[in-house]
Amino acid sequence: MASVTAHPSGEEEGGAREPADSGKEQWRNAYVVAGLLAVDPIGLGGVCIRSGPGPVRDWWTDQFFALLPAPAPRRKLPIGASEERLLGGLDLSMTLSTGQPVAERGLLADADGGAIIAAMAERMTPATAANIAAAMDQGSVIIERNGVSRRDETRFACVLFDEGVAASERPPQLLLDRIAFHIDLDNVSIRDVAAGDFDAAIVSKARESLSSIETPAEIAKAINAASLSLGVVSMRALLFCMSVARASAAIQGRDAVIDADAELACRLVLAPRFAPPLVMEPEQSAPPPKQQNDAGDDKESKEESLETDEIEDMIVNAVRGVAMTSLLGKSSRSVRRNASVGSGGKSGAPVESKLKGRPLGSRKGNVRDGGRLDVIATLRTAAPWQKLRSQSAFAGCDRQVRLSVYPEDINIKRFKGRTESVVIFVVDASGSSAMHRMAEAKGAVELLLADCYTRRDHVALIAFRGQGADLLLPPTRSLARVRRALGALPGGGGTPLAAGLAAAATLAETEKRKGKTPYVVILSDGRGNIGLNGEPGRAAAEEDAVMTARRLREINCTTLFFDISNRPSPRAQRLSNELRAFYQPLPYADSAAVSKTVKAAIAAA
Amino acid sequence: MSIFPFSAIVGQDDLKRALLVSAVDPNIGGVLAFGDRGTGKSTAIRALAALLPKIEVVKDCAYHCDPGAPDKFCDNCRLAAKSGTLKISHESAPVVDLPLGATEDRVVGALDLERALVQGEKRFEPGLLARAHRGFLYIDEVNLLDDHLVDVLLDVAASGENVVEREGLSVRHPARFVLVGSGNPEEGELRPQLLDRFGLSVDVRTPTDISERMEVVRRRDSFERDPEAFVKKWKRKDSAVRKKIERARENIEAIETPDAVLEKAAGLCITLGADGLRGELTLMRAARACAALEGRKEVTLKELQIVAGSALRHRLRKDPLDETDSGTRVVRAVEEVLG
Repeated sequence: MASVTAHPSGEEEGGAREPADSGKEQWRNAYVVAGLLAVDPIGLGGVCIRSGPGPVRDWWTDQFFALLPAPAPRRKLPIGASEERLLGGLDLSMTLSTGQPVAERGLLADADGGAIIAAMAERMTPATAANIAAAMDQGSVIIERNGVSRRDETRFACVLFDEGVAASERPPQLLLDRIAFHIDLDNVSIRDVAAGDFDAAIVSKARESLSSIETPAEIAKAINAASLSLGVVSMRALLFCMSVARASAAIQGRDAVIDADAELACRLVLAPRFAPPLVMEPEQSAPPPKQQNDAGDDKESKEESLETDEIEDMIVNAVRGVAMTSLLGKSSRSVRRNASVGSGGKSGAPVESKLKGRPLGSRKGNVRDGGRLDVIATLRTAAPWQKLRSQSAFAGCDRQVRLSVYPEDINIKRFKGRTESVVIFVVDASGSSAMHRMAEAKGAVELLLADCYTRRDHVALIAFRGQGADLLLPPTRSLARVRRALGALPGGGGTPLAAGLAAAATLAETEKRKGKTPYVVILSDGRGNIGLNGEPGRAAAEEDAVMTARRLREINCTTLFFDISNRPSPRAQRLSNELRAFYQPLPYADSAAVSKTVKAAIAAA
Repeated sequence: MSIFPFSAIVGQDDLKRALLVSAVDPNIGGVLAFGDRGTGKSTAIRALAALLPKIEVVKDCAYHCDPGAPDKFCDNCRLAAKSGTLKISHESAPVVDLPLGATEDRVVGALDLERALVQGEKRFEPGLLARAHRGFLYIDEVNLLDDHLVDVLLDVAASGENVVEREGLSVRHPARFVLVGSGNPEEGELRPQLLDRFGLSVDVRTPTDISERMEVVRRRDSFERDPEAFVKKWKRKDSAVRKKIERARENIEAIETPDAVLEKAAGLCITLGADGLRGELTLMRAARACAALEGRKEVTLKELQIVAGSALRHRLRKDPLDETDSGTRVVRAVEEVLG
């Protein structure tokens, strides 16, 4: 019988348990996930794997597909895939050669029965994610494009490779929400890779038995209670826990879920979704008191509910343990990753868009590349050749051809795309006036957002205090998120100005690579006293600040410097010059003035 | 694929009521379900589609013209009516999905490509707006909808008519539909103009009550194991809901609104500073539809209280620095005005 070795119960033979983020443990975990996902690929949605490109993740992918029922189509989703390719639409060449509309299936429809693989999923646009999510929800792709209207049944799992560097670079949340597993392969070296304990035969047997597996009520209840007390309230997460537990029981050849299955399921599903409550609004973070767990269910005996509690405690502890280890692991990793960030990638200059924006007329092109067909221009291009073509190409055809259009006649519409802007606030949260300044900065963020609905601008906020800088608000245009992220802002401590500028530079670079236009807004007095290394010392700190300012300048984005010292300080002015920033003294840092100036700067750019 | 039955949805009473209310009176202007992910927003909307009462339409008409309203006929039906060849049929009210990846030509309608290419003939092929006429138009992740599609929707929703002037075509046809949108505010806010088009807005939250959550899991599980048996089991309850909608539609015209209730409604809007007449109108219409669903003869303060939140929540003037959730503001105002 197969045994799932990644059970967290610590009963492994042969020595001490590996730490949860060691390569071996990560691989074992990933292998278990491959098995579970292969048992119920559609019910579990898929997996998001944090991993750069390399042999390890290719190996994992091969293993996973080997466990799926054959033939399982494997469809790679290129990062720039157009909606036309994703969803399907009109196959123009076929249409033209056969003389009647021929629809073409898209990637999602082609993946039916298998999986789509999206590398660099952190760069996926929300629109692409929403299209994939809609197909997953409905088990079909609805096409309403370029004269084609049809529905293709399709059921597939999603494998997302998250190669994000910064914390703000994550695959779209609406897709992450619909897939059960979020795992890490980051620390796995090729030496750690080993075959697991189950093969396609076991998985396929498990798949068949899946529908007959029962979940005892007390275990279901324990899972439910555990997810609530961990603050993971999402119903999808709960349903995933139940399904993963069932899949685990099926792989083990059991006919009912036992507590080990529940623990494994919760560890895999809940741990990545569990966020230690650092900054959270009180109304959102209130898991109901424990007494409620047993309320409204009189039928159960005391003994049973005691058992439920025990299982719940076990699950909660396991999940907390995993979540904490991975948090600690993440912080060291992000430093390592940050160090290797190059400055490559394309710039965020205004782009000519094929699908959005103001029409710019049309040009010759291919509808396959995501253009929108300009029918009139296409027919116009084809018109002069009609006589010639009717004599040659369709000469043998008995059908009377009114119009022959060749692929080279095709015109697509051009649109002028308006790039989205990201306003990055860098706020000094150190010292005594921190609270006031943060409140005004927050006010400015909200005012800007309230005003930006139609312009679709994004706002981000970095605060520096103590030893370093934090990205408190990753780029967003959601007021709801702003409120949650900035609900309770800590302040005080030293002034790591250089770290703040460095964080801003990194974020600005990332956003620029995404094709957005970053603006940096600094609220500071220009007086840093903590260096980049986190050590105090004014002289070194200021040197670091000047160096990072130059790095920020290299990125070449509009920068605004609000000097918040009581009277204009020469240090702030010097730094501002170094940044080639627009400098404005603003001793009382009021939110209305800041948002007004920023708006003017964006409008001018 | 089987559809999860409407009456089997656990909790989410606000959302279910708002959907029923707008099914009773399409003039209310539809429903926006905004809130947490994975709360069954689209499940509820698709479930509603499955139990909507049938409507009377002109047979084979692309726009589902209403035989009872000859003044609103499309050109084809007008000709058919003149020649007396108009046939009537009963069909399910359309619930049309507007996928995010839709192109403008399929939404508003465009040149029929087949005819254009094969026969070189210029003919209009109706789009999704035509298909949704007299029914529902549903947009999931509505806040991610492309701006130019939002513009099209705003224009059509305001006028009730779709005017197409493109590719050498010039067509106009009626397009009155109940707009239903769902989304998650974390993906971004909705444009205020679009927000205003929705009659009712519901804030959907994940249930945190353990027995309610258990029930969701149980029903989901038995639906997935045997969808057909599950749908059958809930069929009676679903048809009871359908009858309720039908009866409410018949009775709604006869329902009185006492002056005292009107006054309170006006007072509520003034207290909240809910902009414009639209809020008050929607509030009264929704209260009336709610009374019709309850089988009452006149609107009482109770209905006002029930629908106030969803009718007014999204119309409050926003002060970006005021963190109070607008739903809470409505609740407070209701307590203040209605006592």
